[in-house]
Amino acid sequence: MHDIQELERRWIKYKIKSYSLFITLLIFVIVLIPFVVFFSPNPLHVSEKNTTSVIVKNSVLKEQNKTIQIPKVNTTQIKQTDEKLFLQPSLSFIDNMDTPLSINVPKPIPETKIQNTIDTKTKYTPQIKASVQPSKTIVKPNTAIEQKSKKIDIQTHNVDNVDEDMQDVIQRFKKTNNPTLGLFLAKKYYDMKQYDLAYNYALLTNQLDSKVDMSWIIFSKSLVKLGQKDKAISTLKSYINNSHSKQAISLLDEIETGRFK
Amino acid sequence: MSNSVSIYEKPKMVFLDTVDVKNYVNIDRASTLYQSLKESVQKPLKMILLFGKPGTGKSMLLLKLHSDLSDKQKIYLYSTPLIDESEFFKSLATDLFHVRYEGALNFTQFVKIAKSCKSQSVPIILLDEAQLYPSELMEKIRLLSDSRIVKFVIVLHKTEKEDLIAKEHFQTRIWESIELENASSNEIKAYIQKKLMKENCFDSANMFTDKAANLIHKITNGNYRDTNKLVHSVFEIYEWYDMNQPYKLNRVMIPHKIIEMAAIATGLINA
Ligand SMILES: Nc1ncnc2c1ncn2[C@@H]1O[C@H](COP(=O)(O)OP(=O)(O)OP(=O)(O)O)[C@@H](O)[C@H]1O
Ligand SMILES: [Mg+2]
Repeated sequence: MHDIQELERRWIKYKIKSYSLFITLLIFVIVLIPFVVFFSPNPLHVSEKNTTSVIVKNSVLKEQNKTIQIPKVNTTQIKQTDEKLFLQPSLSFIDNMDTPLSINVPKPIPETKIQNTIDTKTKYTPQIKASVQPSKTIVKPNTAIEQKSKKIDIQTHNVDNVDEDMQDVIQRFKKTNNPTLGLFLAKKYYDMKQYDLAYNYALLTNQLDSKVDMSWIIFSKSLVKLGQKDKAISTLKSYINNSHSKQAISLLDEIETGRFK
Repeated sequence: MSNSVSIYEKPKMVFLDTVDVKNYVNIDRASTLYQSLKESVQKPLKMILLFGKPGTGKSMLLLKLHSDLSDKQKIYLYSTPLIDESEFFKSLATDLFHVRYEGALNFTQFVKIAKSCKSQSVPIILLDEAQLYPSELMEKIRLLSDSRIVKFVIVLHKTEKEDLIAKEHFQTRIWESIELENASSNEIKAYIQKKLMKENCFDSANMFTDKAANLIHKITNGNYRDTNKLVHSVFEIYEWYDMNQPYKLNRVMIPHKIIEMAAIATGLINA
């Protein structure tokens, strides 16, 4: 839960900040007008006076707009209600990673169904119009575009771009907490033999959605690669108890028999 | 917080950010697009492209399409990109033809399998996050659709850079493309209210006036994911006041102050 009182203080500061610029500029303009009028070579030339003040006001407005920025940062801070089985970090190097492990996970919904506490028949009739006006700005699917244009080869996945692409995905993962992206990163790092990172992302993915089979698999595989075979085995066993995942069972077998090293 | 539960707990939970088809709501423009997507899939088109900025509901639409069609025809959803070529073709072989292939499977071998297992209808594969597939694999996917072995619906997450791919690489070769745009202020309002009404939170739904929706739209830029975050936080704040300082609450409409506080708390506004 946020500290609401602290939040209120931040809100007041924010308000003061967004108005203060406006107010200072307004004062500035008010001070400036007599000055301009007084020192103007032709003080009776009204139109000139007007234009100056208009210009200044415009810039005032612009400044004010700037204060509302929409940065794409932090996710909502929601507490995790976990009754389910999640992976626990078992390696200490995790602490040194720049990706925060304790991403705030908005995902798990308590399985308990929420009951309808409101009697719909009585006074609670919805007052919302079913606004179903077909919008005019539908993007028409444009079929059959000519093929005559020369072959445009946009190599988005050049070797030099790989890093950039990964960074892009990492940024998006941080922003959206989308398990799909986390799993993608885990797999990719595993393929690139960066097992510590694979471990890390598999763990993050798992915390977002513990039902993703693959996150358990990559987590365990990375553990083995990092020389933590015993931990991998115990992790897989507890997962198998819960899920009976076929993939996990066969991986466990491979690890135990030494076929997977 | 004490043991008793605030009435704002339930609307708060409505806005947990999940991509679950159970939570799908009809929003005018998106449902029109959904209808045309559904029709396109039935046409003899080879490939369909669905693209749009982050948080515009592409994955949600794909999920809905999958759940609506899965009992009528062969349709599979690949949410996580399988970037390894062999892994990709192996899972296609398993899904489409129930063939489990030992060892690596390449494109040519896959086509052979496909030809030997000819089915009467063309199966559909939905590829989410397609911008992550390597371009060589993408090229093979295109060849597969050209030979009408599989029909692909490709979902691209559009950023400034990827805008180019969407426009040129794909549009010159396809087929059909559908763009999901950011929601308008009205759509944001409809989205919030419909989600709440679906869970019978009518009083909460009525608290979102046009003015509130305008402010939310301004802050979230019509991104449904950010809207979820923001509204979740709004109810979280309501919940706190309800438990601690109930006299301060406006229960008729959501004041700008609370929306701005929620935006600060979620980092959507810098303060
Ligand atoms: N029609 C809808 N009904 C209900 N919820 C929706 C709808 N459209 C979008 N949402 C909500 O908005 C959020 C973002 O949507 P979604 O994940 O589909 O976006 P996206 O376009 O796939 O984004 P990205 O490009 O980042 O993958 C989802 O968590 C979902 O809760
Ligand atoms: Mg998506």
